[in-house]
Amino acid sequence: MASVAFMARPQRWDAPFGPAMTDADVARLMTLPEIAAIKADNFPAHTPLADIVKNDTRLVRYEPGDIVVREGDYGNSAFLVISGKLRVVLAPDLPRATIGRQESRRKGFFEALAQVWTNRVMPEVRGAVRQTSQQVRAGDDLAGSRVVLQDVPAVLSRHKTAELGASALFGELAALGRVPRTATIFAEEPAELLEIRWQGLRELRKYDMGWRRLIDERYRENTLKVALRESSLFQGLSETELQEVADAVLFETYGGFDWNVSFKRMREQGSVAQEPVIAREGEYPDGVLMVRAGFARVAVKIGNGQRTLTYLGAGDLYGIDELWAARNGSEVSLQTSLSALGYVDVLRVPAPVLERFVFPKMQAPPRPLIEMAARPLSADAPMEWAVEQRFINGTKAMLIDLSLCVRCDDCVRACASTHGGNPRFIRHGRTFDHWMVTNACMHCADPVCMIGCPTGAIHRSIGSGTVVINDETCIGCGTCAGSCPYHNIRMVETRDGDGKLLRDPDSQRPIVKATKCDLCETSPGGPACVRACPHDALRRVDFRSESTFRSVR
Amino acid sequence: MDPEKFRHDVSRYERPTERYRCGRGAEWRDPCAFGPNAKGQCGGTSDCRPAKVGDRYECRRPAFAGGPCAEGPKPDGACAHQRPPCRPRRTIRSLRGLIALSAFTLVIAIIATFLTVSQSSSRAVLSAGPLTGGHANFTAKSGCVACHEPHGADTGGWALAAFREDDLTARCITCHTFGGDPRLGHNAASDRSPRGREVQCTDCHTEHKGETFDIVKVGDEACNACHKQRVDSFGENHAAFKPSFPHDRRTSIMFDHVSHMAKHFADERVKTLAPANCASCHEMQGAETFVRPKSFDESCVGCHADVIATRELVLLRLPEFSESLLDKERVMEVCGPTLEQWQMMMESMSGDSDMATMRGMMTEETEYESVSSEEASAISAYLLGMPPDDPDDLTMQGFVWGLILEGEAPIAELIDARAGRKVSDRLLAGLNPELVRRVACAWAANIEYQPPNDPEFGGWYGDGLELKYRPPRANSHVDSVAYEWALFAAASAKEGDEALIDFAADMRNVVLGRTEGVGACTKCHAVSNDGEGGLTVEWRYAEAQSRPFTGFNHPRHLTLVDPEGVNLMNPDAGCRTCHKLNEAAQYQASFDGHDPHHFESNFSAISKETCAQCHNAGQVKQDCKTCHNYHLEPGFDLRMMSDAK
Amino acid sequence: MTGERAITIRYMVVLGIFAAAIVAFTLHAIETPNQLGRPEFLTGYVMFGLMLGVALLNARKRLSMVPVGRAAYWLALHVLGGFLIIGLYFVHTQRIWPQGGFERAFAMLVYLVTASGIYGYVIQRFIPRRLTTSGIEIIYERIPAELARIRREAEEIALACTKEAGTDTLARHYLESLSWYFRRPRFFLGHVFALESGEHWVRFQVQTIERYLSEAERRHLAKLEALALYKDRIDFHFVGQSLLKYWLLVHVPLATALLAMMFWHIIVINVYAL
Repeated sequence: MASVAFMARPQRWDAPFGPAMTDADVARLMTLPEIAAIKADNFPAHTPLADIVKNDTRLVRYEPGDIVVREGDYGNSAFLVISGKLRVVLAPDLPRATIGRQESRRKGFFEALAQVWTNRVMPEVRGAVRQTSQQVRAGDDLAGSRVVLQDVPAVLSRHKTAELGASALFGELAALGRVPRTATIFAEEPAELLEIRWQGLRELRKYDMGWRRLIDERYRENTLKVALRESSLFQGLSETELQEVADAVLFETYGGFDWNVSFKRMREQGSVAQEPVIAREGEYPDGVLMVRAGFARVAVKIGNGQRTLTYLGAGDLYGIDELWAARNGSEVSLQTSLSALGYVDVLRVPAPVLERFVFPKMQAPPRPLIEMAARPLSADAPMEWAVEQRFINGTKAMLIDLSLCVRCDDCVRACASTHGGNPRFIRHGRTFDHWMVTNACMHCADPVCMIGCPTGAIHRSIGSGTVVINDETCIGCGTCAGSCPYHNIRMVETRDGDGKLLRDPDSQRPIVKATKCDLCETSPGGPACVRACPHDALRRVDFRSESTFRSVR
Repeated sequence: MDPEKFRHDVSRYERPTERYRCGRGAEWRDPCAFGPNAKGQCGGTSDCRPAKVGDRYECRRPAFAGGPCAEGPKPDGACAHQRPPCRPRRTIRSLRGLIALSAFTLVIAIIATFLTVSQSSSRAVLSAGPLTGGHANFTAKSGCVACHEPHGADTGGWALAAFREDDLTARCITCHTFGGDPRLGHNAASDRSPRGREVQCTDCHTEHKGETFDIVKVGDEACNACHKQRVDSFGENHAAFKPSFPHDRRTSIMFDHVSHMAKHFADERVKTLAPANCASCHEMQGAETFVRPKSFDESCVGCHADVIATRELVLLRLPEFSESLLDKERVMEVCGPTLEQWQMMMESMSGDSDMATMRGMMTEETEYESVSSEEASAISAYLLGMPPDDPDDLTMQGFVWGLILEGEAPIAELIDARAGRKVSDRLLAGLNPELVRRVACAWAANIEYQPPNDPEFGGWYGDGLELKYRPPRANSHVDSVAYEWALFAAASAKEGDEALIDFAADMRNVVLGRTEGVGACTKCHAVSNDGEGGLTVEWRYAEAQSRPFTGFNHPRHLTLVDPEGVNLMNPDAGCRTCHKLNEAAQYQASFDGHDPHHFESNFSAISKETCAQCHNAGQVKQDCKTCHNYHLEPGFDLRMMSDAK
Repeated sequence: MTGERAITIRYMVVLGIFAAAIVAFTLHAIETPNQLGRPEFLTGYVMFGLMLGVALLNARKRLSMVPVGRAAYWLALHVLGGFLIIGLYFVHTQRIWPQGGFERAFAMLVYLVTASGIYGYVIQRFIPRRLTTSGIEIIYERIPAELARIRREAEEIALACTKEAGTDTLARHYLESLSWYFRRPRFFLGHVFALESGEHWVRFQVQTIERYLSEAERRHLAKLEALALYKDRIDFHFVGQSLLKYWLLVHVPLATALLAMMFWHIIVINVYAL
């Protein structure tokens, strides 16, 4: 019934990263040594360097104590220090509360039980005090707000820190590799930084050898060997052998960093999002592909379409079956295609490297991917659906078996009673056969919601990795809610203790907070919804698990 | 649902914990986006509360309600989208809670009302059901309090009663009586009571189960509750009967069924008198556990009438004296001359002898030779305390002299002295003092007493050296003298002088002897230890008091099939199904001694298997109460009925 | 683990626990002599405990914030406990229908609560399956809004048709007949018995009016028909979910009334018989 609104296909740079960037700023930036060193001729005509600087970067100023990046944040931009002095916290880590995180402490049994009488009938009641944390400094707009370290000298004395001065580049790994930031960096003195969003960074790496070397070397140093060591493929390799492999490995990224935006747009338009192809069925493999972040779909041609066999996540290998078969005499082209579901970070291990270091020590690979094609189509239908809806991202998605669910709403009430009387999910969502994935936070493997939170209020909890929102540092900007491709984060209007809606005195706008399922992070006993289902209809599932759709019927 | 509706800015959290829902929605009109507040008031009379920014108002309609509206706020700051308020309804869940609470309250209110309105209405919420007819009748006036004491108490006492043990049994036994303490197991004062716990009537009997409810009916589980040997099925669980069952005690009448049936009833001479079947001698009418034999006059008299009159009691017998110590003259003076003396007198009268010569002649000391060579009677030996074969001449002859002077009085004295109370008048009933005197005179004169006529009709009589009693022929089976003598003998001394005990035993052997005892009583009536060292004659048919809780309904079994398939209606055949003659048994020998428990019956023991042939799983009923009863002598105190009225 | 196997296992576990308890108790009763009489007091108090136990399912629903065991176990206990109660009830009373007035009301409630419970359990097991076959899913509380939206859209179609074709044939039919259908959920009983009364009605209405419509109008009619059939499925959900909700409106109040009677029964027994 949705009325389709036609609009011009969005063009790159319709929305510049820093709208306030003036040509003077750009001119000044072009003189920065790091940018001046770039050979502008290498850039194609449709993406000139100056436009990249103008549209994909912005100038940000930090006052002393302002936190630039927080450990554990997901970010889509890197920073280049233009002036000023920053500090990177090495050890010990800053207390989580000081960087705007929620102190995740499980309540005791009786503390939890006390909610029987402390829960409010009125929705979304917050204490009138501490609507927002003292740590948050309001910015020009909501997204410009920052978390501030209260006592910089004390932090410096208690923590081992390193100084970052002009022309230091940081944050590029998180921006390109889609991994959480590894350290907290704050301004010690007033500082001016050039923030480069991932699109710009990717162009710079693509067209400028200097930047490429800089980024790749850092990547090789910091991340690559760890990734290789964790892979079963390179078990048993000596340190020097591993180094040789690392030197030979190529890395590639596919798909948009903000795939969620295009995915949402596509879905709203009713079309299927285009997936960048990583490897094509029938081509010859030149190496093994190892997914380091994101998801990739393994598909084979069937009839008029592509049949999804499975999808690969971090650590999964592609192409090894064919290379192994080729090594053993038979010449084999790729049996399956691989395409990026959203943003995928891939390592390509060239065939000669495998031949030299890996195959001699290797047993036959466990089960060729193509064997999955033997299954009946109907068996894979739910998985195909889950991939299409990108539910595969979820590690704790709420899956309801509608043929068992009696719609009693016990799960919702359980959720409400665990969260001060407020539910944190809605028992509706996309359905397939008798399955429903409700609008409850799925605790994604790739939490796009966390990108762009100005105060780091939304974060992964340290122990469980659950994505949670710190209500105190949430400033209600709605970035996360807008980012979530599944609409699982909801902005709520808060009330004071008397039940009156809280409003910002100036704008008369309600004080809103982002809310979502926190998997009962602070309650004893895990997700209340699962416990509360009397009919075994509700589960929290990881879509990567084999038993997700295991129906007993 | 259209997926568009899942959008985070469109679809708000559903809150099933809320108690109210939009009244417009409840009427199937378009519900507003805001919904009622927690108090149940309409929360959606306008779409937004416009904010004053500077000097103009801005729409603040939230996204879920459609976002800022095109019209914008009115100049006075009112929202352009106003609606009349709805009347919110309760949600199903809150309605459910309300109804549930009401239902709870309603029940309590109804109970309270019933309790207060009237007696009969309060009974409706208190009573578990109508009483059985009888109980209902007698409690009609007094009401519940007749059995339930707390019912009469005030509210406090009533409530307190919930925490006190009620003694319903105390109320039951105001009418119901038992042979023992009703709170003991089986009403019997034995250590077999259920351990540590009194038995209450209500343990087995339940009331308030309707007018026609069988309050007496009690199932096996009640028995199994206490009895260690749990019996679910008679055939499988019940212990085997004792090897002697049911003949663990000697019968009171010695009647050898084997010899009678095999020998006597077959005898040509008495064939016409022989009984037709068991029922000829055993009284079926009114029999239940015990099938009494018919009376002597109905059953035995045909053949055994005569024997009673043939057995005499020798009260006194003249023993052999070594010398006569009696003054012949005085004897003659008191008794008159004996025939011999009279003849001598006649002869001398015809001569010229004077009186003196004659008297001298008569009392002349001739060499004494006792007329008797017998022993004294066992009775006299016991009464006088002298050995019968060697009595003290002086005492014995003095006794005889006493008899001469006073008739039976010395005997009566001795008897009463031995018995310790006055029994002689019954023992010696019908004994003529003159007879005693005459017999004594004869004995004093050292001659045999010659009875004047033949003692054909029985009674006391003297005969030669003996003073005897013979039961009269008429009215023979009930002879009180013989009966009394048997009692006397049975009760005779069992302690004291050792010699006397021997004499008593001798006398008992004589009086209660099976072959020569007086009236032949003990030929059939068993003589048994009385448990106190003495003996008792079992005059009456003895019901086995040792099994007060076991019964057997003979009449119901009467028409049982004979195993040989003989006449169904022949009670004899029926009896023989269980009562089988045991020809090898030493029945008569069982009566030699006095131990009633040393007994070998004419009949084979009845084993459990006999009963279990029919009383078994899937066959005839086999619950405990078929054969056993619980109460000891249950009775009813009628006075209570009148009191209660 | 979800699904029916989980449910079966759960029920088996609870059943096993109950069976073990019964067996243990029976063995104990056999092994222990001198347990004279009054088994009804024992069964009565066991039933009392069980009734409170099964009633706790309601409390469990309010205590979701603390780990007090999975509700699925509680439900299994509730269901099997209910069956155990009705079994014990017969052992306890030794009869189907008691004698006293109060006892009869009590027994009536026991039967009604059990019957409604069984009814509820049965519909809970098969209505969800039926709802799944409708192909749509909607939250019960949102049905009024959805119907209102459908109605609005239907009216818009009728208006648009009038505007476009210049005749009010369809609009008139809408006013005369279809508006009745779109006003609120219809064909309740038909949906209860999974009959296609609603669909039939819609088809019949379409047939009735189709002959009078032009080609252009028929396009609107087709849209209207699709909408009506969609609404029929919403109605189906409304009925199914209503059934799933309303049975508790009987079961729960009866159960609380039963609890009240049970308390009174225990008081009376303690005052008069114990």
